[in-house]
Amino acid sequence: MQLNSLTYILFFLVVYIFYRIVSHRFQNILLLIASYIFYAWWDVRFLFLVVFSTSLNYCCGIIFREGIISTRQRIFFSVWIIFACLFTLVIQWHYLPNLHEISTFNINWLALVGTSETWLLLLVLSILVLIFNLIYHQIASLAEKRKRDLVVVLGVIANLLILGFFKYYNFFIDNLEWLLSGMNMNPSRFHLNIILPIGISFYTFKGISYVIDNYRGQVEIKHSFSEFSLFMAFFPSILAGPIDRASSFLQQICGARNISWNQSIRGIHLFVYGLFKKVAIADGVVRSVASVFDSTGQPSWIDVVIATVLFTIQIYCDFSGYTDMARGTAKLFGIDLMVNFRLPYFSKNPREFWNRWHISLSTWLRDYLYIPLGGNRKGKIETYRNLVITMALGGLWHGAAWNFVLWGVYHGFALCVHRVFVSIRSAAREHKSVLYGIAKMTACFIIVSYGWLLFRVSSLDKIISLTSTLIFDFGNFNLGIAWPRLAAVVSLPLLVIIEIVENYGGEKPFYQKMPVPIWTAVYAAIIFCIAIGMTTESSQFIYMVF
Amino acid sequence: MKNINNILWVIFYLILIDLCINIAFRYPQDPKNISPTFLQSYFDYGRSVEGKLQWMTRSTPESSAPRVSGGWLKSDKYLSLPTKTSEKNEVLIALYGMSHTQCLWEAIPKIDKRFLIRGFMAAGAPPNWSYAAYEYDRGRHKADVAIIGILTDTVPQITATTGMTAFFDSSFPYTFPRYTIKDNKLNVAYPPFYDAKSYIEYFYDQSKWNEYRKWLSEHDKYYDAFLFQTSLLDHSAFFRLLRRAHSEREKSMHTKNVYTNRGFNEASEEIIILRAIVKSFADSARKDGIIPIVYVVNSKGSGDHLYRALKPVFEANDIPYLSTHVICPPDDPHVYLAENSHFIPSKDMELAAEMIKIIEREIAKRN
Repeated sequence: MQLNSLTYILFFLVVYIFYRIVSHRFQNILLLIASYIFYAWWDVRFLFLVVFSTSLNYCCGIIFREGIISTRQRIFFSVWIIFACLFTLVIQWHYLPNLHEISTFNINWLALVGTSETWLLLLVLSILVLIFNLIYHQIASLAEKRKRDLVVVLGVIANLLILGFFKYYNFFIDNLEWLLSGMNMNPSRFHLNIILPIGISFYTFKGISYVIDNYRGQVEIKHSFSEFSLFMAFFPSILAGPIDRASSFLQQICGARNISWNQSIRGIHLFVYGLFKKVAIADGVVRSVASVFDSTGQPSWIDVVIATVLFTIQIYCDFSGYTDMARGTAKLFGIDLMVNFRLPYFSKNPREFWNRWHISLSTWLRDYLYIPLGGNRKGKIETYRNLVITMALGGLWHGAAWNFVLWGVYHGFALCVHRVFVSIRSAAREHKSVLYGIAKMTACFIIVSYGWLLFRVSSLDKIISLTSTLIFDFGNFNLGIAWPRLAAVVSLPLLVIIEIVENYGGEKPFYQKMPVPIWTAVYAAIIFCIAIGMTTESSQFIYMVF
Repeated sequence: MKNINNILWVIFYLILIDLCINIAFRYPQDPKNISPTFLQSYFDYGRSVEGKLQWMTRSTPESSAPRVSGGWLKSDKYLSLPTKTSEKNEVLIALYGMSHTQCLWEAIPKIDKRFLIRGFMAAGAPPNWSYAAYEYDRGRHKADVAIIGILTDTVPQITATTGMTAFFDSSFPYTFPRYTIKDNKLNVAYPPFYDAKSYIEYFYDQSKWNEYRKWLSEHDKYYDAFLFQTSLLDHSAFFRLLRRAHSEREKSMHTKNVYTNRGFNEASEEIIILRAIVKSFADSARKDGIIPIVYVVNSKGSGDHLYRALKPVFEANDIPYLSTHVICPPDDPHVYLAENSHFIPSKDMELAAEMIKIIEREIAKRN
């Protein structure tokens, strides 16, 4: 279920109606059930991973907060995990009988109750749960400090193992195969057909931050397991973020929510604006970008330049569009999700860009990777090293491919170069003119855009080929790129105007900065552009597969 | 009150934009005007099929829009086509398919004048149209070679029965039969009319037209009453966009069942029918002493998926074919014209030269 689909809107409306009817106590339960249905809509089997990851992280949190997990709690979590496995993995939901089969009693019970493999999986899981219960006493008997250190390490490792297995296992095997080529070894036999569970990087990072924040004593609010489960699986943000922090999210859902009219208006605005960015612009340039980057032919210089700029626009409209729709949905439930984008293409340097782009990830990397590595506290060389490591790992987070690492390293170096440049430049010589500001903005846009080329093109050979086209084919205006859709052509100027208005003159949304007859005209134009955009084929959100 | 005021402002502007679009990009009323601007066409794509038919249809095919006369399986224009060769070294090719085969038709005689072409073409013809045209034309000529063209993009429309439903954006009234597989045999359901005159007769007779709608709803997978039947919504540019969005959604759902970016779904009804059609074409042509050749046109961005879907039939039945993916890599935008999905002229010439080679090879084999 995509956020820009009719199914999602209907799903949201049903949930929203019930949400407004039930009391606060049941609102969280309702949202949790809705979130699990939303995730299971894609593939019910991977719902188990969400439940398992949630239970694991919550147990770590209990140890940090209360010192021990009581017997009652351990029984509850053991039963809950086994039940979740039974419900999501053992029962074969795709064999669920239809009405005709039910009315004719023609039900294949045997297929419905699973295969020997799924029962074996349940058995293995039950044994693991038993082992955990047995070794728990050993952990509980450790000295407080040692126990906390051990649990934080185990919690983070367990999260990384889940992520690593589903996302990076085959990448690791492929690279091992390449390293061992020439030797008489064949690691490719260990290759597995693993389906990447959508949103895994997002909820795993949420889990890690929860464990570490609890370890640091930063999650002060008292919360229940269902509330934490909602934090992990909240349906607007489970697929592609923002990667919210537990303390801010739980703070909001643990108390009663008062959904104001203004909040609802803001929520609707965010949703419509996100839809506009995705449907009218991002989807409108997809085929132009693909016609160059997925081409087997040799594109010209102008093709590569236009495709790179269009992908720069596409990824922003796609990802920030998703975030806006997620934040808009959450706002209608009275929940504020983290701001993830602050008009990033208005940045004047790479550092500013990362303060404005995918803020929830960049702050996560800062808090849980860059600062623990030493940040900028240990000298210049170490700072540069930490920057490159952080950005390389941030790149790898996006996907199991070398081009993502390259993209991360490229940004790491860009940040280092900017740091060097800032340190040698005297503040007094800083130009304040508008033109100088525009020049800096343009330079930063070019740097970031080239980064998106590295991000979009997965083959290293192709990256080299396109880069050499950019350098050696300079000035070749032989146009071969497919034209963007009308929706994108019409909507882009509108987006630029709105973003400029939003960028200048405070934090308010554009509709609060313009007179009513003007912003309502802009809104009508947005709605019309969405209608035009809906006539073109829709593509999956780019960040949903990360 | 303030919010209602704002909503009313938005509605006012939406109506204003709608009106402006209807005035600025009004579709030409004259059905003979075949060159509306891009934006005139764009904002008219979402008009219901019957709305489009009302625009293009007049009391006779001659007074109607040119597209009313195009693509019919039964047409007087085929009477002037060559039926046999007059010189000993000449080769008569019977060619059936979409516009890409038209390009081949034009390119082959440019390379070698010995080749005479008897061509049946329809804009965007799906494979069932090509096969039906071949079947219809059987016994009316003495061709040495019969070629049917199959295009990746139109394979899903093999379960449609008319250009009205198969191509919502620019509906064509021409019709063609619906093939199905029953007991491993190709079955056929014929639409009630096959030529422009009969279509006009049906269109202006409400009871006959209702009958035809009923036939479509039973036999045509692409028939959708919301898209097909005219309504007041046709007058609003905004609702026309929404209807087109619905048509795109329907189209992508049809296509998704048949084709994804990984290739064709071999278990789909469409591929089963396609393979049966190709086999049946080859068998019947050979029975008539004609060399069958399949022209496999791989659409832009589709790789060699169509070729791969048909390869098992070609190999099992030793059917000669020309697949465009070798000469025109589908992932190279430079081999296609920017304005449509046709190949650039130089590539058409290369394809024609390759087709001539295949024809000569097969003739040599036969002799």
